[in-house]
Amino acid sequence: MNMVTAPHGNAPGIVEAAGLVKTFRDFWMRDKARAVDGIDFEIRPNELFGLLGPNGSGKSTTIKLILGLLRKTRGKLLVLGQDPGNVKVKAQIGYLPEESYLYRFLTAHETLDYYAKLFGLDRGTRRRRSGELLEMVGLDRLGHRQVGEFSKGMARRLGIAQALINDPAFLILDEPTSGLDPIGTRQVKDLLLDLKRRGKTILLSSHLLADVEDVCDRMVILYGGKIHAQGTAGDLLADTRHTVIESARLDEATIVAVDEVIRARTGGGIERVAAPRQKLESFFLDLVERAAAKESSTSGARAGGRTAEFLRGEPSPATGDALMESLTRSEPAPQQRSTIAQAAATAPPAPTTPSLGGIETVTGDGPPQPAPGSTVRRDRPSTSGVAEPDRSLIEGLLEGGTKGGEKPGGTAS
Amino acid sequence: MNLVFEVWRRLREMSASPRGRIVFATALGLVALGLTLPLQLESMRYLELRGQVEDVLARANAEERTPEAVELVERGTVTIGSTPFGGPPVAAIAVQVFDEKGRVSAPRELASFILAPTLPEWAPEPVVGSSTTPILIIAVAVAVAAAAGLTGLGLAATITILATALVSAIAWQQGVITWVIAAAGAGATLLLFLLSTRLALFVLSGSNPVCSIAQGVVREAIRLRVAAFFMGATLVLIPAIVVWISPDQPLRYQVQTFLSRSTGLLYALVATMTLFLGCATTAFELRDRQAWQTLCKPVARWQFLVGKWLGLVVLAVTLLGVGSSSIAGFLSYLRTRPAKDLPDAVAVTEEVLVGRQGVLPEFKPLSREELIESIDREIDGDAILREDIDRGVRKELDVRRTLAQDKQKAHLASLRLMAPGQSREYLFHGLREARNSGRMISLRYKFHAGAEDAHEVHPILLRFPKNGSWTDRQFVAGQVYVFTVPPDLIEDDGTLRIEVANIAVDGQGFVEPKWSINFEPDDLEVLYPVIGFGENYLRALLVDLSKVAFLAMLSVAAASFLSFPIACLLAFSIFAIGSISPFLAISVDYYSVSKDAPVVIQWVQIAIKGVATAANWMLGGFGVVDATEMLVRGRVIGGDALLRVVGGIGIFWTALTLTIGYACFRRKEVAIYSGHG
Repeated sequence: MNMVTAPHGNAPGIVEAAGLVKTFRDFWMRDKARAVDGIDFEIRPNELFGLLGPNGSGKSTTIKLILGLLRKTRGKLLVLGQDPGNVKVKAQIGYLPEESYLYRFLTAHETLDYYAKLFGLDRGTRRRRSGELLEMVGLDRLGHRQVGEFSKGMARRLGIAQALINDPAFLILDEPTSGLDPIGTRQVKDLLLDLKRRGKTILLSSHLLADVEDVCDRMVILYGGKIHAQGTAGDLLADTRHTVIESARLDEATIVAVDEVIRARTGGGIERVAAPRQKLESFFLDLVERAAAKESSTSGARAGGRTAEFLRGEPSPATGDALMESLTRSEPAPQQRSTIAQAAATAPPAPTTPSLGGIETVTGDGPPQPAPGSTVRRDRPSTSGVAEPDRSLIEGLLEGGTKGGEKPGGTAS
Repeated sequence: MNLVFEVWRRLREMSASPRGRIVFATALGLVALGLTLPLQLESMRYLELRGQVEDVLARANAEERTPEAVELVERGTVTIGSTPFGGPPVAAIAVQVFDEKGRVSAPRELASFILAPTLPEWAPEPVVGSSTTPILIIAVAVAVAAAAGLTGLGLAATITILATALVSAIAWQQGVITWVIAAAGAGATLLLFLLSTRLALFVLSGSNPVCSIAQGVVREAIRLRVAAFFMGATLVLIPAIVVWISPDQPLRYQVQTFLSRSTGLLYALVATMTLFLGCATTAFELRDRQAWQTLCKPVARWQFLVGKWLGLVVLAVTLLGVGSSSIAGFLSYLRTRPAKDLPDAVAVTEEVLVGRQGVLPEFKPLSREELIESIDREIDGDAILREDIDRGVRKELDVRRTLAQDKQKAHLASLRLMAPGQSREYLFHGLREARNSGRMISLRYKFHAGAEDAHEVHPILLRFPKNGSWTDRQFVAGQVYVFTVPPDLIEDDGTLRIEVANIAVDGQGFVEPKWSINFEPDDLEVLYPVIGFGENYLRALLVDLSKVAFLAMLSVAAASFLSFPIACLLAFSIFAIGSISPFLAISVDYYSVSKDAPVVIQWVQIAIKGVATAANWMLGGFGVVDATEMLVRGRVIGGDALLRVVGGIGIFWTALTLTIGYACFRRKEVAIYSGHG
């Protein structure tokens, strides 16, 4: 199997696994199960790496091996260039387990203080970070409540906070959005992108494909302890047989004209014409935002606040302040740009997430395919479009079809 | 109901807020002042009155037959203003209070004795008779109450004070002063416990993994009510012992019973809590996966074990400290009860509430030459034995070794045997310190005679060669007796000679008794005080704490690689075997394989003896120093014994257990397989 590598030159890997095997044995030392079966992968610095797979595919075992909670049976596994059992390595790791295994008898503040002390953080830093993290995950008003009284989602939020208490260079998240509401899920995704922008390396394990797809640079898909697919989201998800053109709503005559242009140039024609639907997630978030604007009260955790100060901190050496600013302001995020640039360089371009009020037109050789979004959006899709369109391509298409007729203001990617 | 919860929540939040803390601290401080101020007022009244009585007693002169002396001797009273104090009890001892010049020899003590009936029960003379003690009590009470408020415990402290006041008021109304004392003591102990837990958390607030884990253990114990349960048991049971002890018994027995029950109970509770909590916190944390979160942080496996251990030890120190304070308080109260007679009062201070060193008599063993001669004579005189040796049936060396042991044993036993009419002189060396101290020493003896009939009294005569004085006494076989010896009977070189004679004295002279008497090697002993009770109690605490420290590591180490029930079983078994090791050692000595039994039974017996011997060899040190027993008997816990327990059990055994536990835990995969199959 080929090693999955990121395009980051010769920088040492955060995690390097080669021929990694983990076999569980029973009391009599007989092989019970081979959870990880000779996998090879590498996680490079400043990468958001996805570990995908169904239940029992070996994702959690791989993570436990990386954390030193399990010992490998065979193969090579280095974390930050060291054996995973090395205690010093763990100072740079943040871990959110599948379930938030927190002490029920501690309050939220005490929980963060407990974990902060494990990293040897001084009292002032502990206090400051705890406050900022609790505010970030929306638990600042529940800091003195015992974890045993928390709902699953609230415990999950606290779990995320504890994973970040040491401002880790390498963050491992096992099903981070499990138990979270859509707002929390969106916030976690945003947080991951923020952290990556700061130069953090993140390993995201999930069986929620949308989570991984939305944020990960590269991913491996595990099944039965083996890697069955690997690569960037663009590599794995690109549908090279179709082209999607998104524009403002078109009348039937225009569609016919476009169809004629396509037929004239490719001989194929339009296969499907549809008005895109708003995503439920976008709809939900809008609704909640409006309710929040009216100051509707809620019990329990509030929507999380802004990213903790210490996590925003100084930008990574690789990027300057100006660049960070521009990346924060603009859409898409840095990694999206590279993806888009890659997509633009290849023809036809990768499909995009449909936007409100537009129309989706699918052309291609084969039957219509679902249109997975290969690009990553930081914000909710908006009616005004999200990326600078390739005007020449659209104009070319329209000119061919309408012969200088009405010029629609659509976008394409 | 919701309103109650809401009020409770608000109060709890208030007691935790900075402003609320100051409010609670002030209020609680004032309450404490209000509750303890009567002591100071009573003390002022008493001290003034006592001063006046002392002035009158200073004027009393039996030689000159002053009116004060006449009134004291004839009526047993002292009149202040127009009020007479005292009465028949004073008249009964009045003639003995004057010295050779006719003056009252100890006016303050006599004044206290005269005024004792005027004191209310809640104000014992040792407290109000001192000008500083009530102020100290008030200061401590106010400081504790204010500290409770300032540390966010205001609400808990308020409830404690209210509950205590309620129970005390009910008991007061019923006229049961012991219950009032018990309730007040329990309330004070609870308050102290609450504060101590805060202190424990503060002590463990260091920014490192070990302290963090230890603090987690303490919080777990408090929040999950484990420590609270054991503390609750201590709070209830120690006062219950005081209530349970009958004031009709001699004071010595009251004090001994209280010490025995309370210190034994406290140790048992703390040890049990440590074992249980140690196993639970480690095993359940590994099972429920919180340990994953901890161990994937920069925490070494040894730090995890040491952190758990430290938390348990700090908790044990807290409980032992609070429990001991409670014991000290109730002991002070018990001491205010009247002694049955003067020897009873002396026994309390000289035999119980003291740390005494014991000295056994010198028993000269047979010299090498005497032993060889005796063995030669034995072998030569036994034709069969001689023949067995000559024919090689028995090895001569083995025979000689066995004979040497038997003969030495028999010789030493003969030194502890007195035939009717026979006497022996015993020498006790190393008593120079006792002689120089000038304090009375005790001769403790327990003799056996005849058929050990508990209803039969045997005579004995004790003689002191230094001045030739002697005393005839009686004893019941198997019972312990104490005889007080003046220190001036000790020779200059620190040797005390005592002649024990199996002789009876009656009106016509010396009579030969019916039975021989003998005693075990440690049943004739001289004891002399070397340290005070307080210091000895601290040593006892150190002994108990060392054992608990070992038990803490034992439970944590066991649960790090065993499940909770198995770890509990192992840890409690080791604790039980260690505790009974002195009895086990004796049992092993007496246990023998029955040669007539079937082979299988013999094998089982051999296995039993082997296991018991091994267990005793490994854990024998645990039970050798019984701190409670030594405290109750007024025995000093010597420096060597303390070093053996603290160094041996508290440090070496604990470190060894940590090493074994770490070796097992280091290789353990804390995570488990959670997939299919």
